[in-house]
Amino acid sequence: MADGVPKGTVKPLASLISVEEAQNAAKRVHEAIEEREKEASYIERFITENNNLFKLVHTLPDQLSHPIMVPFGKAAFFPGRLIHTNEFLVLLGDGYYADQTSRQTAEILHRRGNVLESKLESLKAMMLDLQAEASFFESTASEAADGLVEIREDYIEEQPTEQKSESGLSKPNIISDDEECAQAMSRMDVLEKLEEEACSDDEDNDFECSSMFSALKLNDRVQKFMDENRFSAASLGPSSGNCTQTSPSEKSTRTNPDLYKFDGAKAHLVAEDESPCVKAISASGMVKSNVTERPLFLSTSKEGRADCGSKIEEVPTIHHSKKEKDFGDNVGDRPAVNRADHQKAFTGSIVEHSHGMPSKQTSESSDLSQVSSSNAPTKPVSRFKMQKGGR
Amino acid sequence: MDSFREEKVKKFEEFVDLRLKPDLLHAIAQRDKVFEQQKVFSDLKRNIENLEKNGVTCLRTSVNLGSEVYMQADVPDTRHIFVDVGLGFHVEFTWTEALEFISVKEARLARQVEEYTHLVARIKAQIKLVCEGIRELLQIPAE
Repeated sequence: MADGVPKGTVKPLASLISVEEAQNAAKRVHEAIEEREKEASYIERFITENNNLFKLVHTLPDQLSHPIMVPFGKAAFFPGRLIHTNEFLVLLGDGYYADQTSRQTAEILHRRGNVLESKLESLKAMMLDLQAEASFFESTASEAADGLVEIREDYIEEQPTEQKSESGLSKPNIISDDEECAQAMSRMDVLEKLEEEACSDDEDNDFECSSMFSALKLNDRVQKFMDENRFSAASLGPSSGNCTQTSPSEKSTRTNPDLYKFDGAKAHLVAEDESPCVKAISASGMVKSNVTERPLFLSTSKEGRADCGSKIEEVPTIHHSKKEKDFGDNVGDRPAVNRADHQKAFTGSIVEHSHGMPSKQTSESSDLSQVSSSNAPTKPVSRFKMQKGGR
Repeated sequence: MDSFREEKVKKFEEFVDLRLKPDLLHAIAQRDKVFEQQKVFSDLKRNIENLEKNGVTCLRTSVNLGSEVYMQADVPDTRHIFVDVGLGFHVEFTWTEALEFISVKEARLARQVEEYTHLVARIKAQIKLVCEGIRELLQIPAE
């Protein structure tokens, strides 16, 4: 135990940014948008006026004279006609006028139109910017209102083993990986006992639960157990606490041996001849994480079919097509998905996405996991992708 | 008691800001519109008088086509003039008829201006009254 003081800080977003302020800011931005809209409509009116005049200037010289009502002041008219239809007096600006022909006037109007269009474009771009700003403020306000928290932990570059101990969870200091494994294993034993107590009434259910475990699935019950037993969370510390600091691949390699052991201790599912090879493989790098999965799945599916036959029998058929499609679409993604689930199971962080997963995972057992193990990815897939795939 | 007074003051201030001042602005804007009309008709009157004095029967002028683009226009006969009598109607008058109409119209506009001036004064008085009420509530001595 390093010092027992959590390194990170957890602040509700509402304490950093008050909901009201964010909403006010959004309101102000909306007002600014409205102003711009007014301006834009003003300019648009100019543009349509300009276009109409452009057409008029084109058609006026077609005839020598046009009968019109000549305005005399604002409130009176004389009947009259337009003469010299190819002569226009155009305002150049600042009180200067120029005598122009129809064609020249059309050119001037065209240039004016271009200027107006560019003005409108810039206004629209500005409005888009403001709208983005407004939506940002609004989302911030709603997030703050929803009680989102900001978790911040300073990154201190240290030895990996020390990092684990300072991960912010009260957890005994583990120096070596072996010790970590042993620790995790004992924790798993405790966890298993608790689970057995809770599930003793229903053996079948219990088994299914355990198979979920072995299939690296997380469900509500597991989460409950973890919550009930803080120490179990503590034992998971190395993987959960480092969540922000270790890459997904690193994590999965670390959690996998634990998992395997857990599985073995739990339901004694894994055949004896499989375990040595798994252990041997798990001693080395990246690929191993996916290899370990295969025996797990195999054993699970075997036992699962034997014990709670009907349920698991039909599940594979349901998910088969989906599985194949997934496999066809992104062969490289599949192992990553599995790994994402490991992560979830042992960080004990995100629960809600895992409902209804176990049966699917069990069904994915033999053939798919073989494929996935042969296509072990060499680079971690983005978290977003993993979540998407995991769902 | 204090909170009650504060409430009252707030209510009065809201009344001034949200009711009386917009009303005042509206009345002033209306009056300005009438002033504009007055100016238009007085201009027209002067112009017609000029035409009469100079005996102009044909006229060449420039017409604004929009966006400050002008074109020459020819009026062959100026003795008949179409004057806006309101609601979008234009009546063909001779010069004398037009001048008669304009004098009637001007009188009416002057009356309207007077009405609006009264209205503005009344609203201003109300604002003053409410402000005095607020002052009394806050027990600030009068200047």
